[in-house]
Amino acid sequence: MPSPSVATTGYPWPIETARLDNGLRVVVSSDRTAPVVCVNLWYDVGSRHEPAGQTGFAHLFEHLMFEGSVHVAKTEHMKLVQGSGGSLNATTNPDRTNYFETMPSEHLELALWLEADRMGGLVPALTQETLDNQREVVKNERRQRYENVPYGDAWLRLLPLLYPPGHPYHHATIGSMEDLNAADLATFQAFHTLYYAPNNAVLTVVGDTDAETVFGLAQKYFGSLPAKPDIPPAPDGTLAGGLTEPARETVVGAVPAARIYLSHRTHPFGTPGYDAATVLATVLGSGRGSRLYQRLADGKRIAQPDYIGAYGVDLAHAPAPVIVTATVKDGVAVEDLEAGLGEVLDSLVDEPVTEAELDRAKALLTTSWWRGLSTVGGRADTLGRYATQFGDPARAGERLGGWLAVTAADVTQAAAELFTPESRVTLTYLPEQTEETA
Amino acid sequence: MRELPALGPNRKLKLPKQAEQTLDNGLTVIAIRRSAVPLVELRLRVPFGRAPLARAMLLSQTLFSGTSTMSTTDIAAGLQTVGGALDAGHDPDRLLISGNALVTGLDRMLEILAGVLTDATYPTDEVATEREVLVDHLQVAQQQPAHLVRVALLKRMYGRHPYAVQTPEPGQVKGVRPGQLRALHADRVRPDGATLVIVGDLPPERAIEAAAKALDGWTGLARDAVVPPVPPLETGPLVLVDRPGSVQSSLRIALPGLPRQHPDHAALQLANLVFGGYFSSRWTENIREDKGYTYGPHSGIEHSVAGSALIASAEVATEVTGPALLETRYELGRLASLPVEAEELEQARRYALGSLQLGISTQAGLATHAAEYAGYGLRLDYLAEHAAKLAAATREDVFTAAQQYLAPARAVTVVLGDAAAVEGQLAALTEVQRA
Repeated sequence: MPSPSVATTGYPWPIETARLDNGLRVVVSSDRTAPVVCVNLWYDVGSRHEPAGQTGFAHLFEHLMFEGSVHVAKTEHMKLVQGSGGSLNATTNPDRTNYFETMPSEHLELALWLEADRMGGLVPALTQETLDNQREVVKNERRQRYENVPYGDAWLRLLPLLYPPGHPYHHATIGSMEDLNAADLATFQAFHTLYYAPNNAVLTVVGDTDAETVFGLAQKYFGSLPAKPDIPPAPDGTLAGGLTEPARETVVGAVPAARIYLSHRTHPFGTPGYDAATVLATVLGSGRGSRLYQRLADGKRIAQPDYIGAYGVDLAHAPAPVIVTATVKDGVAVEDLEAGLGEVLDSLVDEPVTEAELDRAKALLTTSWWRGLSTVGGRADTLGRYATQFGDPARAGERLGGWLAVTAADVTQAAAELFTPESRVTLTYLPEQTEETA
Repeated sequence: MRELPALGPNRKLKLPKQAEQTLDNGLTVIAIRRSAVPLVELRLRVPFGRAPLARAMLLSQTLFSGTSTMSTTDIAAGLQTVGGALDAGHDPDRLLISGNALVTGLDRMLEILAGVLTDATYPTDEVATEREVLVDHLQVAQQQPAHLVRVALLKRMYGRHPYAVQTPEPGQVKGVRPGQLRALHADRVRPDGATLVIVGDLPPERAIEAAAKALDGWTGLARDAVVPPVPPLETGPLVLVDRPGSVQSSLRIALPGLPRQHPDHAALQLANLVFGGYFSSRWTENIREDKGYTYGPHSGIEHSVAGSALIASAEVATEVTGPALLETRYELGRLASLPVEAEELEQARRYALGSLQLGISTQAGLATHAAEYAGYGLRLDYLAEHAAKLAAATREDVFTAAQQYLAPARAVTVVLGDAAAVEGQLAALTEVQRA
């Protein structure tokens, strides 16, 4: 276990915050250990904001943010960051969109300049040609990551089973091919105008710098960007509890072996209920010490050892899902595997977790927490998340303590409350019948 | 206000505090302090050159499946208790054990590691399970173009050298018995010549002490693991591997590389970056950003103990396989015939220097680099020397290196794709030989 001084907070580095007149929140966490710095922007817009007919737009928009802005030509953004020794990327999920660069710290100012230029000056640089080009890139990404990979579309299929039509999490971030094809330039111009505003973003800088420098540079580059009034909120995601009737889907396709995904809605990320669900998922399905592995891969030997596990997806604006998955071993009937999974889930209520199981799960979560914070990039993204979703970056320090406070009784209660048969989503993949070949 | 801020010079590389000791059993322990988070990273590199391939690979998969006092789940659970995990991987030069844990769990992790190193039993049922898993993985790999083209390229580059075959056939793995794994372990998993790297939030002396205490029972001399130097690349016709119906062609080009210690290595690294070593390179600009032939080409220098090579890779659409090769040869030829522009050299130089900084900014990055370099007799201070060479390389140095090593006349080319569709396109450019 970590020493008490460390365990009392999950974020033992300084955090300083400021807010510019235009509403941009600036978070700085200084760490002089290595001469690198990360610049991270969280925009409070994700696929949950997308109306019907515009699925995939938030993510396609993220691509457009790399294609030039008022003072930056196409491909120049990448060149300037890499050409100063940095690395960069961006991601979109249901909740938010983030952009980040890790740079040698002497090039901090360049990263801020680039981010300010695309926050304030993207629309004039946006052309039909760029949109068409990136639409094709995203369609290829959809094929490559979801359609052309065995089981690749599981997440795309689970979401509509877990969340009702019209719910902000009902559709996946990648969107539908139909909607992507229909995307027009004016919609994207409007999207930027609506959501990419200083008062809808958190700028976080972590690493080899200090708060005074960052606040000064933030004012210099972002200070003149106007705030935007009336940014519309996403549709309400509130749901009372889990499903009231089980949902099931079976897919026959080009997969090497039958696989099952079980899923339940739990609680929103950041709540004590979700902390318990996180510990529960870890006990159940993290690594070879977990119950699923010990009972189904090792004990009964009905599941493939490399493809069994359980995990939560950390969504903050509605009850987040826990997903349990296993793949049959050669010669095992998929019904037997489903029954086995059901028994292991039930066992969490009938045979309460032991202190040893709980300690292992907490130790694993502790390691994963610190690994997440071992880079300036991981720290910046964490602070941006807590500032955006909970209004205070310092609340990042509470998560580890929240996990460590979960008791065996909490885990049993969470299993009894969450893993009920009537609230279960079951997604099964079956291999196509193929001719036997020698 | 909106002008691009001026770029300052890259900062000098600063290396963390470290200590080193060779124990009585021949194991070298390198400990590095990095106090970012309360974790510890561990790498153990054991020379494994010329080990029988199928056995070595299965050994790496089953090393943690049991000792006389611990089952496979005892080992996993014991490591999890300190928030940790250990894994083993194999390549033609070494067995590499990697792991991490909470820093307070270092002693326990070392204790479990020592148990495995001195007393791994390779239980029959666990070996059977892992053998099945490995055979499944190999069979899946045989359907994947990236794997198939790699196999063909290594064979073409290395001929009869041990590096020519780096993955076993599924049939060879099926024949491996637990007794053979125990014999291989006794023969090769020895401290003599091995290097243990520990990076974390603790004083280096304390880490070395912990390692010495835990691993003093691990003894024995290792068998000679020296791999003979690789043969020089022999140019010849393009090798075409048929994969009927493939919608993309896998294009691979091998060129001579240079070992890290070579005086021209930094200049060649810069020339490679300008060619295809990062997103902002000429090759990416040409065949992705301008022509859209591919999602992302990449070239890099691959180091092995017995030799280095520069390998350029791109997955290109079937119908533009010939044009993609044409542009690739054009970009190589341009670098070998004309000096690079001053600005693109500066950009590549800053990228290379920045990547060094980022690469060693974490515990895991430091541990991986230190263990890798140790395999070549190098220490982290090599990074400072290399950074100085990157900073000093002139346009002339880079041009000289490019003339010598990036010349398309020296390239060995392998293409995997739908031969019926691409053979004519390729034959218009160069002599083609079916694999």
